[in-house]
Amino acid sequence: MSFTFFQISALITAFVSFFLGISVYSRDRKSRINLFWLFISFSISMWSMGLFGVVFSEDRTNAWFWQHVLDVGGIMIPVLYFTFVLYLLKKEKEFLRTIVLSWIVGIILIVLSFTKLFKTDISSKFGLNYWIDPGKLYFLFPLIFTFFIALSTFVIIKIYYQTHDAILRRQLKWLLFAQVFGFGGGITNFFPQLFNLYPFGNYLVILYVVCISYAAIQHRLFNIRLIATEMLVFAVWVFLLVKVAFSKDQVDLIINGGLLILVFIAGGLLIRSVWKEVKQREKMEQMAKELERAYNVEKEARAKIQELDEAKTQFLMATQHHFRTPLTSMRGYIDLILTGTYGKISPKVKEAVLKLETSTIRLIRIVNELLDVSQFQLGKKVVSLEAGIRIEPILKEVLDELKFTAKSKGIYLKFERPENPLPPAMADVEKLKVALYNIIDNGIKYTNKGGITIRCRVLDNELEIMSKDTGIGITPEEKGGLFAGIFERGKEAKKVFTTGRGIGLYISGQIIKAHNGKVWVESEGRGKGSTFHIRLPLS
Amino acid sequence: MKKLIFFIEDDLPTIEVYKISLESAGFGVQVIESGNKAVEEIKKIAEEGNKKPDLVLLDLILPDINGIEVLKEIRKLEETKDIPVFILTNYSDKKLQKAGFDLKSEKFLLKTDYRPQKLAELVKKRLK
Repeated sequence: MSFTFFQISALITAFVSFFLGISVYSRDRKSRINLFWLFISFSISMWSMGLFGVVFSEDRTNAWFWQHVLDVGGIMIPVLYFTFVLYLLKKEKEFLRTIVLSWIVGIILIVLSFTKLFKTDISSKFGLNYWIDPGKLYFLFPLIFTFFIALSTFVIIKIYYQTHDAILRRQLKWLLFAQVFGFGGGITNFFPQLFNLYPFGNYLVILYVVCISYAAIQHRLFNIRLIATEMLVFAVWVFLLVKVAFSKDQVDLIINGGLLILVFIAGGLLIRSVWKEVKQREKMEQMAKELERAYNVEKEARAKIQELDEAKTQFLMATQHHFRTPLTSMRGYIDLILTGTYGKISPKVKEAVLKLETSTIRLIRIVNELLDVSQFQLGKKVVSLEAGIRIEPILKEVLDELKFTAKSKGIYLKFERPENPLPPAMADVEKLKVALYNIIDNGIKYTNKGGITIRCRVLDNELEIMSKDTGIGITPEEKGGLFAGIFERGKEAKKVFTTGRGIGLYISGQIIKAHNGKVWVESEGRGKGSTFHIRLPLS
Repeated sequence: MKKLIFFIEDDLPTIEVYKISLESAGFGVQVIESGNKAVEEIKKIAEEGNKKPDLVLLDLILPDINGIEVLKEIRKLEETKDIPVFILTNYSDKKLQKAGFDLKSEKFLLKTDYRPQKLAELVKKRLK
């Protein structure tokens, strides 16, 4: 017994379609598209198996049975394909009535196919064992088949030109190719009964599998890339299995059997390696997608932070303006009064205006501190370092400003000049002045007897400024919070200087830090004075 | 002859206190209350031969254009490019300070640090 090519192609189409349907469905059982593809594959497989049975059977009873299988499978193909296409293109709601109609028509045709109106008999044609003898209403089958396939094609082409989704376009292109081979070839099976022509295109049906597989691999139809390999291998297995089963003699059997075993092993290995590769690629694609998503999230967040940062800066700028502008004129008018611009003033008024000036200056200092703290806490660059800055004149200016405060408290403020001139350092003159002012002023505030001595020394690459006072001293517990921006002072400190806020030292610490320097305090404890150390890098 | 100061500033109390002090120190003060007007006055020096100021006191935040734009205009014209400029502002912003120094402003003064008399002394020292 031997097979004709017609029979073999029908058998391969049947097996491969069956396998393709199951393979696709098993990848994602929740997908409705995959489910419809499973049904289409089953109907194609049923039709092809029926075809094989009809042309292969040697007795009429068998052939008659397979003809029923062929007809039922064949009728369902256009109905299921039409439904599948509309679900794939998400047009099922729009075409719901037509889908229902196709199913009703399909069911009527199936019922009809068991009657003499559909087929009267089967008989040998074109060298094929059996072939259908059509009844009076058989023409409805090719008519309906052509109608729904044409409608599906129309919808596919329409969406193809409407969509901007590149992947969907490629999928649709290959679906159209598959149709040309599958349905173009399949439709020739109507030829013997309609035009007395041989069904020459039947061989082409197998090509629809190739097209769908290509679409699956290259263009992610069904999100599966493995299917083509599996189908190809499976088709070869089926082909060789058939050859083994119908070997002419023993030698042929051994050769075919050996070949089958070899191809079986090689095919298994091939599927495994492709499977691994596909998994790996999918994993990498997933990672790339996640990375892209993370990058986008980060990009958005960065833009928002920048926006927020800009808003904060604007707020700070506005605050500076709104606070300082009235303070400027307050101080200005006080200055004009005190310098006699508005005439001579009595000592009592002068005393009051001087107090007003002190309060205004204090308010200016508070505003400056608040703005500095805000800028530091926003991470703004508030220091512009310059090389070659001489520290001594800065220190002198600060000490000149503070000497009256020390004098009014009855304490000394000494500067022990170094023997040799100090080397220049990296500094921002204005900001360093603020830092030194705060630290020395702090010493004055918390010293009631004795005084403050300022010394400087040069280390390897640093310049150290020390402010030693004979004040209330600092306990080890208090030390940690001094430059930390906690703004909470110790009990003793509150007693000695009631209006302090603890902001000055924080600002000094931040300024020195921005100078790439160090600041710390040493004290032997309560009542034993403190020494503040400031180290700045030399130019 | 009195030395002339262009005082580019929009806040009236601020104008008053500094103007009085500068005039007391013997300077002639021409107050200009907006950036665009300042640019006009500067152009007039070049185009109409108006008297050139000996020094410009320049606020940065003005009602229309900012002080840096005015400074750019001063530096652009041949007739005014060498005029000494002191920025007198309430902003302690480092970027603006740098922008000012890049355009050769000689000083960046914080108004709250410079009471009128102190400023007058500084101007006097510069124009000695």
